[in-house]
Amino acid sequence: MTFYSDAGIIDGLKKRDSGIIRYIYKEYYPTIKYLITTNSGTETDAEDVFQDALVVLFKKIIKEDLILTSSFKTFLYSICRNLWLQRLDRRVFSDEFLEMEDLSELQDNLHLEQSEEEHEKYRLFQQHFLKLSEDCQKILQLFLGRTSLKEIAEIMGFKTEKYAKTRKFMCKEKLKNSIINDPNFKKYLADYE
Amino acid sequence: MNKVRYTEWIDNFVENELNEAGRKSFEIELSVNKQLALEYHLEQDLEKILSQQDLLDFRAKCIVAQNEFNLSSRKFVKVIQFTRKYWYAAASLLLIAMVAGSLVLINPGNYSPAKLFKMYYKSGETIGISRSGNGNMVEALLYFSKGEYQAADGLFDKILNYEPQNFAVMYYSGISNIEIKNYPKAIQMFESIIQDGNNLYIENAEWYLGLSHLVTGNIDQANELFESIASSPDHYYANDAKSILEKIKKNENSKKLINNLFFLILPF
Repeated sequence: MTFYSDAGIIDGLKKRDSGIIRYIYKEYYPTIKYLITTNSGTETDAEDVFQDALVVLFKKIIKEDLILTSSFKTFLYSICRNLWLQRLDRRVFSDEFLEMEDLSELQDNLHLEQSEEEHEKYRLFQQHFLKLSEDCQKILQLFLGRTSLKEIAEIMGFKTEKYAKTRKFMCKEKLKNSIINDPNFKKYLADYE
Repeated sequence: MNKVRYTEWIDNFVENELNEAGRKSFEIELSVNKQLALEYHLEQDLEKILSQQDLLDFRAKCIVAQNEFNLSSRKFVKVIQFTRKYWYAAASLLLIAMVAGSLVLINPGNYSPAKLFKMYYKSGETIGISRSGNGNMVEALLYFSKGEYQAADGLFDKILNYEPQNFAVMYYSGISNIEIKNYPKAIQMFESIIQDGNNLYIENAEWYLGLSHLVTGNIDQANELFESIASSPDHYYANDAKSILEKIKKNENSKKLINNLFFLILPF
């Protein structure tokens, strides 16, 4: 198997290289899974936290030139641990794991722009979006990109602009329904009232 | 229960397509209507989140990598040593499965029209409202959202008296009449929408017309509509139509099988 240096990994993440992302999962996910499943978490928690940590990293990389002061593995591990502690904190766990770590110190060390809760919400929304048909995803993205109805109709091969608009409504409707009906969305309901 | 969906109304508000009265009406409704507020704020968040296309692409790749990792780490399959006892158990299970399978296969009620209707009638899939400034419409939709379809339909009728070409109202009237099981009127509404040939509700009307025919036992007409929908790949309900057609076909095959079995048993 190919070995990538830390700089190679950062560069690959910046380019959203599927090979690098696969490599990161193969190399580092088992450690994170172990960290989380041995500290009150499930495999699903581990998957979510790892994905969110990679998104944090990706955002940092595209926003600024990330200079690692430790190895990539240590950095990724710290982000995962921080995200998991935040989630545990929200679940009001007070087990030995929390006592072991100084949460505020960790948060200071890693200036995460979003709270873990926001990450979770963003992940939920994005995952529902990715479950839509390819056509729906494309239509919604074109609308968000302020592409005109006429162009959207042309790109998508629709006969009329009116039909393009109808499809946009249907796709939005589908996405909203899918999110609202997700049991994980319930905890955010108060934010939307 | 049906829920009024506000997508189109929100869109018109956000895109500044409402007149002054329409905007005020929207803002008032937004302050009192929890469902509208939920959908409006959710759309705002979604717009923010979905405009980050690079992040979406990155997350999609993470999901693929995670799935690949999970698959590769589950390559060790537990092998069960089959002793005589296991063989007996397996044979019994197989026999039970075969009997159960046969029963399911020859059970004509498996996909009866009523059952298919229940499976495919998604009452939450109503689409937006187009005349938000109309007081009667707002009231009718309030009744509709509360599940008071009879009252809603009375108001829809009133609106249609002075706005006979209001296809949104026709559509909601059609759905209300499905809910109160007044299928002939539902069929009439959906047919009027389709006959117009140029409005936003045609695809939905075609689908619900098919379902109305199905539930009233007009299987041939339902089939014809579903086939037409399934043959248009861009139709919003193309996949649903394909799926329901498969089940109708399966149901017909089961009926044929029972008839054949009946004629085979008859001589004895």
